[in-house]
Amino acid sequence: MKLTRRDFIKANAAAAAATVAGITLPVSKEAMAQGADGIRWDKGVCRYCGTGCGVLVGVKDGRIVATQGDPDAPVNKGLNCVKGYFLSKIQYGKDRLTTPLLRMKGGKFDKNGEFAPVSWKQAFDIMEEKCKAALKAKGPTSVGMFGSGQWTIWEGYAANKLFKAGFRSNNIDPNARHCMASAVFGFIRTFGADEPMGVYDDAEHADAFVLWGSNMAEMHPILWSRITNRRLSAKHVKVHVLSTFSHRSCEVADAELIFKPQTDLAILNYICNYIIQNNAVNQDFVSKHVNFAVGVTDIGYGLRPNHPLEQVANNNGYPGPDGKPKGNPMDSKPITFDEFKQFVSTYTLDYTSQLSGVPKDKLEALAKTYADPKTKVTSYWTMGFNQHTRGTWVNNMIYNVHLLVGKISEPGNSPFSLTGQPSACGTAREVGTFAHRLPADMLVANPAHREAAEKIWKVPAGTIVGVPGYHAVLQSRMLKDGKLNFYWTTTTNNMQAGPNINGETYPGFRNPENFIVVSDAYPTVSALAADLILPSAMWMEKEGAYGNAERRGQFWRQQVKAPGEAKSDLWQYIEFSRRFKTDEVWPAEILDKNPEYKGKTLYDVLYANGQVNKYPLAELETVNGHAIKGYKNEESEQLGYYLQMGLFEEYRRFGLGKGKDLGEFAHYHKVRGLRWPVIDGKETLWRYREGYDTYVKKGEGVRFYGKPDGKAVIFALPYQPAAEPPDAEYDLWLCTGRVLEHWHTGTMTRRVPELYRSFPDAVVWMHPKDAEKRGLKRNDVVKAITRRGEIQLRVDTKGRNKVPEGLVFIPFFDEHRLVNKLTLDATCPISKETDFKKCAVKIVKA
Amino acid sequence: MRGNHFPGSMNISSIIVHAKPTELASVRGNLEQIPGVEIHAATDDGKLVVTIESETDGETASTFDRINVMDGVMSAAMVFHQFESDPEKEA
Amino acid sequence: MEADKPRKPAAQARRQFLLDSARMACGVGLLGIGIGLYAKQAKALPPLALRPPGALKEKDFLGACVRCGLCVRDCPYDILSLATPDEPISTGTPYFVARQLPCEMCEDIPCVKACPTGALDHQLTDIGKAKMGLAVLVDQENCLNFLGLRCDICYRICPLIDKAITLEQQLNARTGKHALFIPVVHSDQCTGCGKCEKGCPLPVAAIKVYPTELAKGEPGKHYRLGWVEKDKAGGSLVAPDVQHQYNLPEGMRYESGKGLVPGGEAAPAVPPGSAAPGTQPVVPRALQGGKL
Repeated sequence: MKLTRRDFIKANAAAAAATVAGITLPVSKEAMAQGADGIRWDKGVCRYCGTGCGVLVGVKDGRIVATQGDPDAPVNKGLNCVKGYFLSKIQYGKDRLTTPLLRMKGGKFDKNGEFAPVSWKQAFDIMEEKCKAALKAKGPTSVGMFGSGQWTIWEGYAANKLFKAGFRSNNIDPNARHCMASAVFGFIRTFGADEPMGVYDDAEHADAFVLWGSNMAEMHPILWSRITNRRLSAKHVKVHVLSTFSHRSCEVADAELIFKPQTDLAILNYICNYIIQNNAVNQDFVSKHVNFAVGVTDIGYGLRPNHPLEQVANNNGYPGPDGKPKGNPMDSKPITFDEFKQFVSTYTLDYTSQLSGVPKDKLEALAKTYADPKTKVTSYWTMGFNQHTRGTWVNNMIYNVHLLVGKISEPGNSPFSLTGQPSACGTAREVGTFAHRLPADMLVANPAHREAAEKIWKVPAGTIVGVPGYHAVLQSRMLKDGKLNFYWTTTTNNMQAGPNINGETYPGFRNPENFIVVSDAYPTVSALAADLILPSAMWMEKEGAYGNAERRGQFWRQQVKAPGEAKSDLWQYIEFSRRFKTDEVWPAEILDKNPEYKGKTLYDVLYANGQVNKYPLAELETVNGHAIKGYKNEESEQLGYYLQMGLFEEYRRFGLGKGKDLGEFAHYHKVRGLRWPVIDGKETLWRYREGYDTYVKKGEGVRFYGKPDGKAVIFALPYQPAAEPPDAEYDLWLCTGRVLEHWHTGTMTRRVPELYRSFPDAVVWMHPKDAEKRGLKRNDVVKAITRRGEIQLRVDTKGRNKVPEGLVFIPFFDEHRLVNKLTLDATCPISKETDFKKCAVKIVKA
Repeated sequence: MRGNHFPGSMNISSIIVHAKPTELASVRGNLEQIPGVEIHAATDDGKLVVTIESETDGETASTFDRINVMDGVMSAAMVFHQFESDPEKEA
Repeated sequence: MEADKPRKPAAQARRQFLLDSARMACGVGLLGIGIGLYAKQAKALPPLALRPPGALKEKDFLGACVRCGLCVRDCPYDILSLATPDEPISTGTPYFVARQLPCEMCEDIPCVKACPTGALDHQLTDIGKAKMGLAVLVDQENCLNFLGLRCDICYRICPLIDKAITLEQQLNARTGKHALFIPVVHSDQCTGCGKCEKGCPLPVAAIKVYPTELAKGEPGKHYRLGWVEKDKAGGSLVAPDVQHQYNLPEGMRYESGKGLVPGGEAAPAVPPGSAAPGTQPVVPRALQGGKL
């Protein structure tokens, strides 16, 4: 019985009167005692960043009613940041999409129609029609997909397979391209193998931390508390923070190095110069484990080929006047240590200090930290390095520093690239969902890699195309140019997160030649700009797996059902594959040579291939019964086999024996994650180091086995200016990024009322003097204008971010103030990752 | 009607009614006819614990007056009065 | 209201009570005009005024208290006062101000016994369970313990020392050699007696007792503290992990929670035929790292 307030007051009133009158009232019944709360708990992973905090998810009556930080998760020990605190609410925003929506007029699809609910059958019908029309008219390069590091491992794997083997299109790319493609290319170029050698445990072993373009205090809050604890509990530990503006991570810093945008390149060369000049090179390590090379420099800025900056670049790889590619931005040639010494010798303390604006004593103290053989240094970086027109270089160059002094691949000595998405590593990178990649560090351009993939996938030789597909920025350009006509974006929101929306992305989505499908849980900016919206299941509404930044794969079980008609992205890909026959997507020469594939659907050849459909439904209980009795998941129930297990076990074969060994599917469901390579069930902590990494033989000490000779490469690369520095008219640097309260484009965090309230609208942070010069006060409404567009927002001259004169910072979470209308789509010409940190802007009173 | 009317508000008062013991049954009956009045307890010597619920303080007062002049009632004494918005009618 | 208002002698308080009672009787007479307004005005209680032990929630208390003054009369320490019309407290109701005179927490709780209406709940028989308010360490900038000084008065004066107030040790990052002893109030134990507020040696107390509704936040129902839930359940809420194993050099252990532990027990035995290392008699060169 529920006791209302009215009942309560009445009872009180009666009691008061009864007391006065000396009357005893009959004893009223107590409110029903709360019984056991009836919540079922199971392990899970946080939905947001690449830290990969473990959470326990509480379900009652088919709904997530609570979460808690998992006290037994090694990453976070029961803690969460404030976004994680509200995880239980992300699935329950009021505007969840629950039915497919198609732009229609008069009951039929119309590019200029209004969104109206349709059935899944209608949705797939129109998709099939549009996809087949594009394939027929222009071939496989006219279809493409854009995904993300928020794909679960099997979603990314199934999508990769559908496009690269099914449609024979390599035009599949993750939004991780915007996030850590430069880190990937840095790893591959220096070590021949992707992903960090260290683990989060480095935090407890390092004597010094250096943050390069990373505001961990807001973006990786739980990891940051580990570093802060180390700083507080060991007095000798020092923290250096390098950034183009002062932020929350600077609070713990012993040294705050605020440099002029792009001059990190010079600072890194200065450190190498300092190490060499002060005889601090670890000669033994360098002679055994390092090669030297000089890279080509005239590589352009990843802009459209007709841009003046590209016209004059001779190594950007774009077609020249003769139609042949102008060089290759990746190219390099071997040099000697002395040549490298000579190369960096021009980066003197005076020159570097003058160029970067960082005081000499701070630069010297930083260089000394790396040079001192007794100081273990862990370097962390995120978007400041990766979103950089020289992003691959700057990644190479931080390794130069660590390699010169041999501070790598051991506890506390770690160059560590952090990730922003929960499965940037696990899905985007390891599954190889980039336009140029295949699983386990393999490349579409490599015939041996294609052959290996075709064998594992059981598809005919020659199925996979050897030309890399369109990367993220190129996809937008090709949409606008009408060359990419069927486009499916899924688990991401590129209309808000991608660069130069006005110039490229929006015209591409609305190009009448194109059909745009967006799968999402909420009506994002991208969804509203699409032609067809598919309602997706999210997070705990499906069985999933993510891989975090320390190579830790973590699995979760489906906890609840998705609302309405919403279906997992995995289900969507599988169902769509049934609509295509091999005869419609594969050329006759392949089918003639392999007649057994004729007449089959893509579902038959990609998923019902004897491997993916190998595990019977009984496995659901075998693998998961210890946690949830009678466990089921929706996709498997429908298909009649354990789909996720089949996909993962097939995928796992790519990495076995290649240093990319993942554990068995069932193992992951019984642990709080495993760090690969997993050898005989054992995790690997520090890679490339004898004893820790079984791929390094006894007596070798260290071996960078991604390279055939086991040696990493130190690259001689120069400082070069940014693509669009401020000038007389656009007189400020524009830097974009995040705030703690919101995750990326806010699709989830903006649906949590408490988080929305805590930071409702994006502001532009500006130096008080810059504001004064423009007659602006704090909270004034201003226009931020670049050559590409303008937005209105309020000025903040105080608070968490303290920008220097000449630079402003605007976060990108706010769908009402789309800062990416302003940004320039210049990329690192090697990694193709956009530089969201540097373009020219002017701020005027609105 | 006197007093302020606040829609969605609640006035709850309690009074002690002293009735003639011989007329207790009829007083009880009459009290039960009045809307918002509830009898919580009664003693053989004629005391009743009664609550009055209404939406305005004016209503409460008129109900109180009505009880005071009721046949068989010797006295009625106000003990408790609480006025607040009704949480079930808010939000 | 003023915190340091001089106290009225008991006789005067009693007179005041009679006056207030008469006014109240009048109030009943003028029911139709005034009673609604009267109840509304009396709803809020200023933060420094605390109710006697066992007081119902403020709204209910105001309804139930008949302003008889018996609790004030029976308080052996003359701690309670009755509010006068010039105070922003419902006239005639009892209160005390901790910084002036905190509750002495009589074991027999005479004030509650004296209450004729249940405004002070007669169910309260153990004064240790009283909830007159909640102590809050409001001013962390000036609290001596927060500054690293050793005061601890609030802690030591607390009748429920080590229960209602505990000292939590933290690193003093500034000196690097000392600890901070941070007073932490535990709301499940604190009675709100106000001894700590009274005892605070600062000119204005850094720790204050506020009515519980003012002092306490409310945890979100959608989130649980993992380590608390685990303690309550006496173990993990979900199936424990199967044993983790790691590739490690000889002489190294890796434990969940502790991380890498040099020395100690040997690494777990390596199954025969495994590629894992572990047969070298000494710490491998690889471990020497930068000194290679």
